[in-house]
Amino acid sequence: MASGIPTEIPCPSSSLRFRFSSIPSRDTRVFLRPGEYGGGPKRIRLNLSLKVSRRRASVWQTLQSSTVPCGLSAAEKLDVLVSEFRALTGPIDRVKRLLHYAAILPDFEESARVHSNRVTGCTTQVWLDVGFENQTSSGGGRMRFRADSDSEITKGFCSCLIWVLDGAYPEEVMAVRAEDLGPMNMGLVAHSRVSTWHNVLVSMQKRTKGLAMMVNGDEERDQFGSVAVAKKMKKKKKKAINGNLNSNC
Amino acid sequence: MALKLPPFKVPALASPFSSSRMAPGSRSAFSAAQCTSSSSSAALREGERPAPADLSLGHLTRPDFPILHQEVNGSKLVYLDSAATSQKPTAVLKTMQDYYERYNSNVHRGIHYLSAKATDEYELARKKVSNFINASEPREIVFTRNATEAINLVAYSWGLTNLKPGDEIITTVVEHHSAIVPWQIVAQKTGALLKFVGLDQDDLVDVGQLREMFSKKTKLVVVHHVSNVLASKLPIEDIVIWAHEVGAKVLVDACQSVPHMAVDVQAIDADFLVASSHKMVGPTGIGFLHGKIELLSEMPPFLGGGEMISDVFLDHSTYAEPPSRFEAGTPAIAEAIGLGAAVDYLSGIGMEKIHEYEVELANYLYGRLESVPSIRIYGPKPSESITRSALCSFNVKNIHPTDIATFLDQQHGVAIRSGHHCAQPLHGHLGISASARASLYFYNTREDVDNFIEALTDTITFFNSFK
Repeated sequence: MASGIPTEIPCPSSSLRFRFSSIPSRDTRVFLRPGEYGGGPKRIRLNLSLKVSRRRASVWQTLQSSTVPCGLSAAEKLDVLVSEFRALTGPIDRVKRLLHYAAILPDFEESARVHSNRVTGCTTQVWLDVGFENQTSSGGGRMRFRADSDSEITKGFCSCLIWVLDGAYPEEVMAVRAEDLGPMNMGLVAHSRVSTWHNVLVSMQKRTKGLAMMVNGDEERDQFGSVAVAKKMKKKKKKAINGNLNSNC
Repeated sequence: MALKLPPFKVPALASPFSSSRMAPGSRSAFSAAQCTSSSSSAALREGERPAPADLSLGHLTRPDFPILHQEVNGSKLVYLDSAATSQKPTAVLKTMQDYYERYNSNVHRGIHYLSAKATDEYELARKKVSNFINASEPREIVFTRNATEAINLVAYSWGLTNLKPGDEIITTVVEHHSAIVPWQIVAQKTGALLKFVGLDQDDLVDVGQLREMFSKKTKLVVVHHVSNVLASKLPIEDIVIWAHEVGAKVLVDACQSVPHMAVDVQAIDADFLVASSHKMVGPTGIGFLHGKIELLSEMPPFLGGGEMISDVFLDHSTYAEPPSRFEAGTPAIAEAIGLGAAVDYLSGIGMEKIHEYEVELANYLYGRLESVPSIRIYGPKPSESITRSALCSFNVKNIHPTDIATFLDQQHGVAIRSGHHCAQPLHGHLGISASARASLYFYNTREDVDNFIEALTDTITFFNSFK
């Protein structure tokens, strides 16, 4: 299978495997992203790009129909998305693309449309449901996200964010910066108070942090900073008092 | 054979307002020969320039606003968000630059020439504002950061001192958050009760309900003059009379009225009135509170620090007289002087002329918007007895206002606002989460409205094509 050539395949009911008949080159890139629905409801168009190792004789990639680990990290998926939107030069093209992604956003359960799932600060109404999937065979728990909005453009934003971060590890979620989403913005800067990108991403990260800490149940393993830093500072101060270290704390 | 005439050349029109610095109190120096209150009615052929007599106030003043002459996202900017903030004429910009270039200095305490000059100009700005709203004297004008801070000043200074448990503060569901939240805080601290007046069937504040709410317990009434969402105007003079009959004070939020019409605080007789500079072609960072001097004299300070004191000891301090008592720290000097220049500019046109033009623009906007399918415009329909301000908040069925505003901006360069416009209780009352709002000022034209409607129609067609 050559990279970059769109291929129409039946929508998988459970999993999807790809086999390369020959060792792909080091530079072969296979991107997997949700495309536009075309034809009947069971067909989905995929552009495939995947980094592969030369040492492998064949590459098997298992894709679930709902989750898309496909070997791409959240950062790589973000790159894919940024590239896609950067290629759309006209604002109307970006709006159209967002509206398409809005149309394929998974349904949001009414029971999740509660106050605690509201993302605050947006000019539109946005709901975000966050879950944690326990350790998988690939190791580590993964974050699960679902979102919805009363604005179609915002739904499109959410759809893109969901594609990037749904199924990602907590560290991957925390590593995304608002500035990274800049190319997808429709006129608003990423850190604007009313920027949907910013508010939804911040909400995803806050709730990821909370869930991950709760699941881990151990403050020492708070790799996201605040508690660990505070404890380190305390230890440093104690050492300084004991005369081993000068500290400005 | 048709005779081809050379293009009609109109000499470049210098704005009569660009460098005017009218004497305080001057309200209208605008020549009727220079514009008509009616906007240009004849369609112009390509290459044809309008004769001066056909030019509207919008056409004549636009050259004074450099920011309006640009493209955004590949389209000519159509700025319809003046209710959020107005654009600034060159005269205001130059005044502020002049301050920083020639006489920037701290005010009130300095001895040297620059300080004296800065102090003179700062206090002259106060006098200009005082004259602009016909206050009794300049001491009744307290410069604040904006109208929000002015309301907070009244809330924390007058409110905390004078409100007791059981006292009632009457306001409406239409108010801006800045007129609600400070009173929620003060009501919580003092035990006073906040009571809200709703809307009638015409989307107007139920004035009858308001009148019935007055009682001996009423100590304060907080009301808007003109609504930033409904475009409606309250009968402020009557409300003040009713309030005073029961011994209550009145605070008027005049943010949407002072920029657009002549406001006479002595005629209104409200106890407090607030407005923001940035909505009246002045700079951001400055606003004012008008308070009756007898009230201000009795009020304790809001913020403590330099400027507002008389003497400072280690264990206590004495305070300056109003307005200094309420202007702690180094003020926004350039901004105050810029506000003075804005007052000069508006006075050069004349507030009556501005209002007359905007009423016509408001009717035109409403009429054109009303014809858009599946649209709902909030607030009263204009009529012989009901005048709307030149703004329309609206929703289009099945299309989120933020989607509309985004597409208008990205595809057409039209700037409107979407959201709750700092009026969430009102939106809740109307049963909506958000609305779009187009708001005009005297530098807008009928062509702006036409461009907006054309863009809006295209936007609706676009989104409907995806459904």
